[in-house]
Amino acid sequence: MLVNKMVSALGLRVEDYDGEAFNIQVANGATQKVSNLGELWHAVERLHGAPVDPLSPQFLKAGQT
Amino acid sequence: MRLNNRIRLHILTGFLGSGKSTLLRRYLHGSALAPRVAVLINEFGVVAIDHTLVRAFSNHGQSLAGGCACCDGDAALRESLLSILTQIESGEMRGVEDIVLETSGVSDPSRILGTIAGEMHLAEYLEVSNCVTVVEVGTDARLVGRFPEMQNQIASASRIVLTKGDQHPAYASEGTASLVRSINPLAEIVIMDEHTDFAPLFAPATAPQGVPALARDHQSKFNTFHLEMDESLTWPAFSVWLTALLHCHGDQILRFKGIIPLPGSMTQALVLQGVRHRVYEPEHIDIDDSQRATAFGLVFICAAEMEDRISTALARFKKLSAHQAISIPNAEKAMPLKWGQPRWAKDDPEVVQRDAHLPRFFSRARP
Repeated sequence: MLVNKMVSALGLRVEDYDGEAFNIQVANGATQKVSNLGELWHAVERLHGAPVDPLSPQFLKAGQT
Repeated sequence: MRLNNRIRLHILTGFLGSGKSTLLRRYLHGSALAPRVAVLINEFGVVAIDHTLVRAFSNHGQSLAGGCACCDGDAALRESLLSILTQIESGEMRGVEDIVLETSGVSDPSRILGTIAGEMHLAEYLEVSNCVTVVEVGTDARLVGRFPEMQNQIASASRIVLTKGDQHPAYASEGTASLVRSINPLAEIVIMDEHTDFAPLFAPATAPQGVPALARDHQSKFNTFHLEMDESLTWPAFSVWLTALLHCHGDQILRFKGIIPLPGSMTQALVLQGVRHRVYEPEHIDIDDSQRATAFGLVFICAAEMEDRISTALARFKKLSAHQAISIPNAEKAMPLKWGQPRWAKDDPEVVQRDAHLPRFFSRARP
């Protein structure tokens, strides 16, 4: 899904959890569930150590991978 | 699952001496609404920290406080709001549906919104409804330029009330109105006079229809700009971008409003408004064919120059999202906009323990 284009370069993977929530998977196998997009970006920042910044030039590169 | 309706919280702000309290008194005086309005007044004063905020129930009492709710009074504000919620639930404040928070003259309302959004119980039980900003007629660009607090108050408003017009010649009201419009083209502007009906003071603001045209010659320190939208980027994809943008840059984005296409709908669109990290519930509007070509767009009011970066980023994201299968859980209702703790936190033993002492009002349904 679209969100994965934004987070795949960070080694994260996001899945739709039963149409109700997001399930974020880290490369080491850990997962975290969040209930909406606002929470998703908080969780991605926690797991990755830095936020996904749609204004940064790197974001474009991340999106292309 | 929501068992109680959220209590509406209205923020009444305005610079020192602009006439906030007078306006509030006139609103409550003799109003049929008064019994269902709880009032919380935060004054920038010298009272001991312990008494930072004192609550008062509508016109049955006045409260006085020291410290500014957006800075050092933060914890006290949280406590006071929780205490009001508890009293509403226990029946001590029966029938209260609205809370009006009158801020100190120098506070930044968007920081108060941050306090509410960041506190799980507050975000769960309070819905920030309006930010009404009082501006005195005669306020000019020089004065506004000198006080960033005033600029923040104007920029955060959903409704702006111009007061004391009777002390100035008629043209002064128009001058001040055009000044505030240049800072915040999204707010509804009300010029107060002896005929003003105060009952709808905190009713939902009727923002200018559509995406407003912007004056380019204003002198505010804000970067206010308009971005065109077309039908290639619809709501689910846009919400992904917007949430990421606000998560990173919400501090800099004072206000935004957007009219966004709904996938597959030819007759409806979504209106989205927000202040800083907070997005209000989206509303559906009807659009007809004649409006369709020009209906969509976004207006941002930013604290710093961000137009180029945001417009480039949006164009980039459009490319990225083209031909993407979009699957967003709860796409339509979900963007929502609870920025507090996820509902999974309800099962967190630490949270459960922390909440154990809270009254029934805060008992939480298990997912």
